[in-house]
Amino acid sequence: MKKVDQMDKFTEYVMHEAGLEKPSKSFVSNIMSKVQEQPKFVAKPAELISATIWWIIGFAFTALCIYLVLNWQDRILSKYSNVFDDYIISMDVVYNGFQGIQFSNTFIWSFLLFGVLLFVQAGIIKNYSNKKLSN
Amino acid sequence: MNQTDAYYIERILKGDVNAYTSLVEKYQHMVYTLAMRMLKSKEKAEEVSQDAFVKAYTNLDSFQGKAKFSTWLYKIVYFGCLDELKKTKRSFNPEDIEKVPNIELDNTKSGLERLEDADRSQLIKDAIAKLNEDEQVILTLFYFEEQSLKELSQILDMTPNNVKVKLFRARKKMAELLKNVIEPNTLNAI
Repeated sequence: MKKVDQMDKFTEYVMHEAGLEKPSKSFVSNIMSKVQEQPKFVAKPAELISATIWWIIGFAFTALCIYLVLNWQDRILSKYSNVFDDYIISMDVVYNGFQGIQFSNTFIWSFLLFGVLLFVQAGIIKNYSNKKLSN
Repeated sequence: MNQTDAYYIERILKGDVNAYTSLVEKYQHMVYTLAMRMLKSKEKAEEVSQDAFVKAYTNLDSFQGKAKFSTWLYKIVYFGCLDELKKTKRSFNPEDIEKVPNIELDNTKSGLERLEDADRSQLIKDAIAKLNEDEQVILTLFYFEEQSLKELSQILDMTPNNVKVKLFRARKKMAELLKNVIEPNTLNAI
């Protein structure tokens, strides 16, 4: 182990004595002139709504849909259980069944809040566009 | 003011081409040294290292920042040099290092120290040039850039263990090469 350490220190000394090579004086300018010929990178605008927020919105919307579907299904099943039991399903019955459905408070509030969410997003987008245009 | 590589990369990706000058200035010596040690020709080393810098620039948007920028850049240089060596059909020249005997390092070092600066530097450069390409790259990056074995393995596309073995062999070989040349040179200098 001592021999390896000695070898390590010796090589370090030798390598630093050798130093680094120096390129020509025009080295950097040559590279930069070639680089200038390449297409420029274009800055990408920052995302208005991050991926995480989109996931949260998606999850909340899906949860809402599932809740509503289950809620409706329960109502339809309880109201027309005899129809499903006898396997006599006609378009008229389904149509009439929907006519009897009343929207619950939960649904109405959810719908309203979703509308507010869309409205806020529209506001953010408008604000962002205004800033972009004024720059 | 010294900024991190990430700062310059961000500026370049936003369209500020001139920010690349800072990165070129920072890494020019190491990139050129690596190319010079592998290709042993000033003209080719300059051409390959310039191409490496341009290639790094054009692919900068694919640099994910998982490794250091320098590691990524040196990898481009290393493979650029290998391609150049393939074109000129020069091959690696690994020597049988297992035959290297034990060396009295203190004697070799004191012999080197007795030489004039310029002579010493040239002598060492000549010895380095006798190592094979991989060994030169490993020693240069390990002792100048203090790259870890893991980073070296990323640059050279080898396992860290393989790099470790090569590093050990390169040290032994370097000591042997210098021992062989230092004795007659030291005698002439005294």
